[in-house]
Amino acid sequence: MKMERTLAQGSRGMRTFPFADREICSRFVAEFRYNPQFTKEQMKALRSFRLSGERPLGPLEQRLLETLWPLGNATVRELLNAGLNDLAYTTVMTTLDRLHRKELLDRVSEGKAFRYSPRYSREELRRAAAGEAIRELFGTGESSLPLSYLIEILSEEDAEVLDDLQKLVERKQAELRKEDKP
Amino acid sequence: MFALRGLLLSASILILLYAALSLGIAGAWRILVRIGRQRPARQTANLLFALRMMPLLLSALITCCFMVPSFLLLEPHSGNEALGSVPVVLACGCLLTFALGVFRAARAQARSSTVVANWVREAKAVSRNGEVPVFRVAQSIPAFTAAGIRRPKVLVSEAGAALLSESELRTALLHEFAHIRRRDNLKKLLLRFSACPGIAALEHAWLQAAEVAADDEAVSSLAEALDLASALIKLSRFSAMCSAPEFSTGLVHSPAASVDARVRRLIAWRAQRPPAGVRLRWYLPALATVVCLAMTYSTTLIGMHEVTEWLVR
Repeated sequence: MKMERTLAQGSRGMRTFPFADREICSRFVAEFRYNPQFTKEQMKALRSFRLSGERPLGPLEQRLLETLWPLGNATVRELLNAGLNDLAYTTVMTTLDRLHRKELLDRVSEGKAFRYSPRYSREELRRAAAGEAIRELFGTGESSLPLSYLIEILSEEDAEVLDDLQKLVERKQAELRKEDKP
Repeated sequence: MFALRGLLLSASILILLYAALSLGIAGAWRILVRIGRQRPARQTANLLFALRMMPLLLSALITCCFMVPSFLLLEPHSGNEALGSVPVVLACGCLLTFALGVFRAARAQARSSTVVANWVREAKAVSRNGEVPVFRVAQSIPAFTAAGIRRPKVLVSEAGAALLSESELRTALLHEFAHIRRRDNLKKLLLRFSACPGIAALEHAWLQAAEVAADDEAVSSLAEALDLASALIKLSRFSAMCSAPEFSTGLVHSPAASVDARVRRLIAWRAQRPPAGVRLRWYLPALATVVCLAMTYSTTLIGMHEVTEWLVR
């Protein structure tokens, strides 16, 4: 690693930035750090915000929805048979009920049980979730900037591509930190 | 009359060469780039820009170095030779092409200046004593914009900067500085001036190569490369309401799918030494061409005069 850095700084052969440019960058970063337009919480939330990575749903709720979308509609038993057999019947039932109360699922009674169907498609839900998260983030903040203008909901494919890339970068950064430790 | 005839013929030769070279480059640029695909990103970007500008430069060079001297030296000054309609039409086409180029470049530059001036009016200058001032803009503008040709500046939107960590912010700014150092906005202006049909793919390839070259120049270690990759990913998820002006560059200028290649390249960053003697390889054929042209100059002038005679008749 050290070898790589020495090469990069010294004899990379490519133009390296003059000190003045790096100095300006550092000044900007320092200025921005000490005079942010946003509260610390907003900055933190912004940085960790991911459109597809942090939905306002629990992992089990997400899993149920993921199973329900291709089926269109299903009862608890059908869901268990469709790949959720590692979960208890009651767990699935209460989670579905919670999703129904969150108005994410519709249900019709079928004998003694209910048949659930998603109210929104995957894409619709993702867009709604992203919009809601941003409203929460900026709606009550001190900043008066029209930050909601910044948001552009990516297509599902693009979001997945970016998620994969983000994971790759994070993994590489973790490796680098590990290598740097003596 | 002699001078007018000279001007018309020069313009005719210029536009004919320009059209022929443009067609040639539009057909052959992919092959030329593929031959040298192992070269560093900066050289690829330079090669693509050189190819894009080659029709204009080469046709102007041939006209100035061969057409004009051949006319002045070999054309009888007192002749009453009639000028056909073909040179007149070609000269008008030449005038129109370049006048249109100037108009398009001037209009785009005026628009860009207006947009940037509006952004800067409400911006806060962070650093003015450096060569390139950096502004914080509290409007919904693209996260990072390097704008201006004569007096370049970097504009950073508050919201865009808030998305990034300190190290990401630093590398993103260095990316914009790289665009300014490479005078990419001036290059865009030149492209706008020398418009020619069928060459849009080459321009697009240059734009992408320029981004990659700026990425390369902005990072000097793997840690910085990963910071820049992370900044790219974060900013690709968001977009401002108003788009960047034409003569400006930004960190993210393309959809998420094409960010993929840049990020993967940054993740695989390795320090590179340039191969020794790379410059010499280019200089030798250029020198040989100049020597050959000098040795056959008089013959070439005669040949050029024959071409103009053929054009007139």
